[in-house]
Amino acid sequence: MAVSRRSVLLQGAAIGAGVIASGVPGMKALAAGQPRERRTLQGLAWNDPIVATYRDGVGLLKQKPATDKISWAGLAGIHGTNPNAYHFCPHGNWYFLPWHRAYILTYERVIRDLTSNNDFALPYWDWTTSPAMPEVFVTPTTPDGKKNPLFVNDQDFEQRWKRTWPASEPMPARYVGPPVLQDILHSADYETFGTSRPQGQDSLDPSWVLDGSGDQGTLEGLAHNMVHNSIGGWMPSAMSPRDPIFFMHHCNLDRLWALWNSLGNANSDDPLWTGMTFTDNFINTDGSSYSPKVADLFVPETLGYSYGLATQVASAAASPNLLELQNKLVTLRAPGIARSADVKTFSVASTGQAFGTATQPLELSVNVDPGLIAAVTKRKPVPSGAEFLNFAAAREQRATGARVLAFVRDVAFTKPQDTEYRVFLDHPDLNAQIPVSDPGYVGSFGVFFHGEHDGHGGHGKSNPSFVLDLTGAVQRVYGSGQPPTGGLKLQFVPVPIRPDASVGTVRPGRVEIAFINA
Amino acid sequence: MANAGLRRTAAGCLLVLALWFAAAQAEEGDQLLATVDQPARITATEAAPRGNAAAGLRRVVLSVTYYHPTDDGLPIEAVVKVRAAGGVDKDIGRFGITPDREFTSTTPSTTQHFSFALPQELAAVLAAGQPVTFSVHLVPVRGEGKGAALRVGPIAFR
Repeated sequence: MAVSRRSVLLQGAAIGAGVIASGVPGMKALAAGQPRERRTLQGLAWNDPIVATYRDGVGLLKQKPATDKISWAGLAGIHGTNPNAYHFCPHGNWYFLPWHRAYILTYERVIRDLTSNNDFALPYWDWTTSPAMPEVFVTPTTPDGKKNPLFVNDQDFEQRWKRTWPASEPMPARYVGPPVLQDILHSADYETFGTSRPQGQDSLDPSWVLDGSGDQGTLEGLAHNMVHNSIGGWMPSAMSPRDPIFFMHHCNLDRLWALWNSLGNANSDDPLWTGMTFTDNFINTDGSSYSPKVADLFVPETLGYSYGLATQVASAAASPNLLELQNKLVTLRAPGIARSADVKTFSVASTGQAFGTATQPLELSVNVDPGLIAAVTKRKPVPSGAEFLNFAAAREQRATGARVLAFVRDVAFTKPQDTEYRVFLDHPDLNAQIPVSDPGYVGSFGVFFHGEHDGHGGHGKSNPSFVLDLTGAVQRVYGSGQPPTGGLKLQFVPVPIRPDASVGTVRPGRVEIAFINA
Repeated sequence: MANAGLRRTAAGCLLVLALWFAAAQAEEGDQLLATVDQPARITATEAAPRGNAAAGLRRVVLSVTYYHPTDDGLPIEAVVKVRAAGGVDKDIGRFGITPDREFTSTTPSTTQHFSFALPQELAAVLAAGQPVTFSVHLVPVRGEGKGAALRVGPIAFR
């Protein structure tokens, strides 16, 4: 991934970009109380201030003696006292999500304090869109030759601890892919989404927090558990927080909770859940106890961070570019509204084309103005926000500039329960084995469906449609050369969710490419 | 305690249509133990709900009372399938056990439970009083999965 101009300026710092950025004169400080935005690790360079601050913080914690409460080993001991025994942390019941929200918040606050970077917010590993372990975690040294605290090769508890999952191999889509995410986000209530209460719970006695007899759904039972087990090393054990990637994994799970809420889903209001206090489970930066109640942990913004989800009304009001972008996008979707002049669309239908299969992907070529593609490839990298120490401003900047979306409409399909439908851009030899780490990979979609009609189809009368952001793929595929003369080639290849699955087929009825601000 | 009981009852009415336990049918061999060579199987029979109550079932909950990880420490996953008598297996989900360590459930609080959406057509089979068989297959993620084992306990419907 290319290093940005801003990060080049910070390169070579002796103690890390995160620490330096906070002390540079003239930088605009965050308004007091404004939540810091937690961002995806995808696209962040190794010396991005957020990554650098996390790395520095982990390094500082690892230097402290294990007997220190605020040390790498000491904080991990909150979770588990040894590899086979949990300490305070709940699994297999409805306290799983709120407890881990408070736990990773503890680390976020400690790292801010240790690095003096008050604008730090934990990044997250979105394993649905970026299923391989983030690169900054898998190299023993950083590009400047220093030892990488985010890499794992430890000796403790009379054994060596190293991750066993291959560095560049993606987490299987059957654990973290789009159909799994859909299943998670479609959970009807909190006790299906976030694991149920322990069986027989009848009080707020703290012993219920460690009772693991609740019903684990897809979020905990599949995505959470299998990512832990697959990475290996510390991660399959009760001492999993000894691996720095633990916090990226749990930050993503926390984000999915916030996302599920933002989609209109309510948390449980049962006092047996809301009223549970995690007494003396966590630590403040001054060493005193942090004992939140579940009800204290519902809204990330009140805890000092956000994921930039739609519920942030206050920040949207101060984001005219973002609002303008959203208004332009509405003209693409809403009938009866005149298309914005800054939106240019091109489309193609799949009339007469065969369904895409795992061995014969479907290719749809959309003739577009090459100048528009050039505008997208020339779009400047957007700063992370650390230049201004204001991530809301960064989001505003991201809302400007050329971008391109693909609206994949009226998708006919077979075997949706066994298939992930992947989309690539202009790959010369596409097949089902091409990994999602390929530069031409655009994204995937799955179809949540319980039946088929006459072998193909969707839910009765209408087939589903999807929208994919092509901006990144266009920049990666065409950025270093001439724009394509034959149009944008979107390719659709179905991939089995499991090795033994019988993979389906796919054929969008129509593809519409929309250039915005180009 | 009475208030807690009333709260539980109210919550049950709002969130849970029915809670039933299926009797495990012991057949020849240990049908409840899954390894990479054989799945565990458990059949819901006359203990399952019938009629309108069964038609409202939305989820099935599998319990795990014993687990042993692979000998080489590589990951393994459990795939859950279901079929009606005379039908074919249908995947309804998968899960993993974390921490990936051996455990034996000695009390209800140490039994692990995993919840899956119950296909509508199989809820209808149960409603008609017909048996439905669940199977749990251990599938190695990497390596051969030797040594891995998992025992299922009673299943429940919600």
